[in-house]
Amino acid sequence: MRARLRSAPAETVEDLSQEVLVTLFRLSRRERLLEPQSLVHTLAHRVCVDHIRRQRGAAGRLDPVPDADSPGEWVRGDPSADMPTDLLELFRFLVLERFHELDAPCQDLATRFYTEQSWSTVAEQLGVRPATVIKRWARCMQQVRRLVRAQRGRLGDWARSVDRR
Amino acid sequence: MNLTRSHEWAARRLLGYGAGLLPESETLDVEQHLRSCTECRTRLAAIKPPAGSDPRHLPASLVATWPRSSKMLTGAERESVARHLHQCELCRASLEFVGHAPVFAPSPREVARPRARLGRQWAAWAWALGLTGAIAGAAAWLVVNPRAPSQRSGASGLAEAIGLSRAAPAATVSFETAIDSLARTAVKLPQPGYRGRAIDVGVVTSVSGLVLVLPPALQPPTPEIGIRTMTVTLSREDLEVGRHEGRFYALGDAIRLRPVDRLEAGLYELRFALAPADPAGRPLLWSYRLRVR
Repeated sequence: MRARLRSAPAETVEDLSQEVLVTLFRLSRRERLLEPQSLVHTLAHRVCVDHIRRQRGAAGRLDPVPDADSPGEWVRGDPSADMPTDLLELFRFLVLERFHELDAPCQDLATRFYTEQSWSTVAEQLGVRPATVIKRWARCMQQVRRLVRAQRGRLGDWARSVDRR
Repeated sequence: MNLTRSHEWAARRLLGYGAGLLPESETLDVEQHLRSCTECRTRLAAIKPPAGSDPRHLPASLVATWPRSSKMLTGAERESVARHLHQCELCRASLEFVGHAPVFAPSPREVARPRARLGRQWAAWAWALGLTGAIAGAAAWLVVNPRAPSQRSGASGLAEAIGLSRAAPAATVSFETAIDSLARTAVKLPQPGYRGRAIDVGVVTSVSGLVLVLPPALQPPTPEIGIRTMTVTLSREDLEVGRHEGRFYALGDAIRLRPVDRLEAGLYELRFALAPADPAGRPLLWSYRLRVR
């Protein structure tokens, strides 16, 4: 990771290493880890790439993935002003938590969609047409929008900026 | 459906699509576009949760940077995270795995907002007004419920009615018994009779609670003693804030005290009272002074 993010401060590299460890720990609680070395390599690459994308802001979140062995370009931001968490992941988590309390069918839809990132795949899983599942989600969306409107702070700003694009 | 949507139009909406934030008609159009556009599908794949992560749990990036990130959570997001942590063993374990206690760092707003300080004169007026209000409220309550105080004992009933009673209205700390004593943040209680300084237990929140590992003397030496009733109370300035009553053996190796909210800083007394074998006898008492930060 240090090689990949050559110009990043030691603290950032440590945060990202911790992120890899957390994912490994959760995986190990779920199943036996096969080929842990290559798994660590893959996760470390993914975490570095995601971090670079986060540094580029909402617009850079979908930038193409650089080659696994090439060093990443670390963009210096103001560490005190930046939320060190992935705001997209945090947003997804909060949406699922909201539905967990209020609306189980919406939580199921959201979990499937956030995992697959495709309404066509979700529709296939549920045995309905994509248009049907998107219509169902539109009802859930009203709650998501209320959540976005009510949310203050960095996460609220992020969600509103994504919503406006 | 609008078939004239361009690739650029769809590409600009991919993040909104991935977050589930687009309106229905735009979602349909992006979905349609994705079927024929490999580039957009590839870009979207970048925001799929990585293998091993479950979007229903706290993001790994939040867990990894917990001391700084938790400080930045505010309002509903802070409440959701706290509630989830309280319920999710995996997330608490993940935090502890990377060396963070599952407690929130105070948000900048909490740190920045100093308590309003009233002048001495203002404070006296506020007290007087508050007391007058309480008495007026109690008087009104007595008019509405003329028989109510008689159900309690005269003075204490009235004292309770105007809020001067020392009895706690409801327990604010609950007890969990026989829990895992290997918790990283556990505090080992010394043998009863310890007369040293108050035991510093740090910050106690509703998320982590306070795990106390009991000394051997607080474990029943015989099965006969084990079935006697043990009452554990936590009090602050003689005001009981939590109580647990059960069989002595049921305490186990460790107990957890879990407040409904962050426990106010100060000195607390934790008291264990073991019922005597003979109903006419006196209970055996052990107590500890705990300092909560």
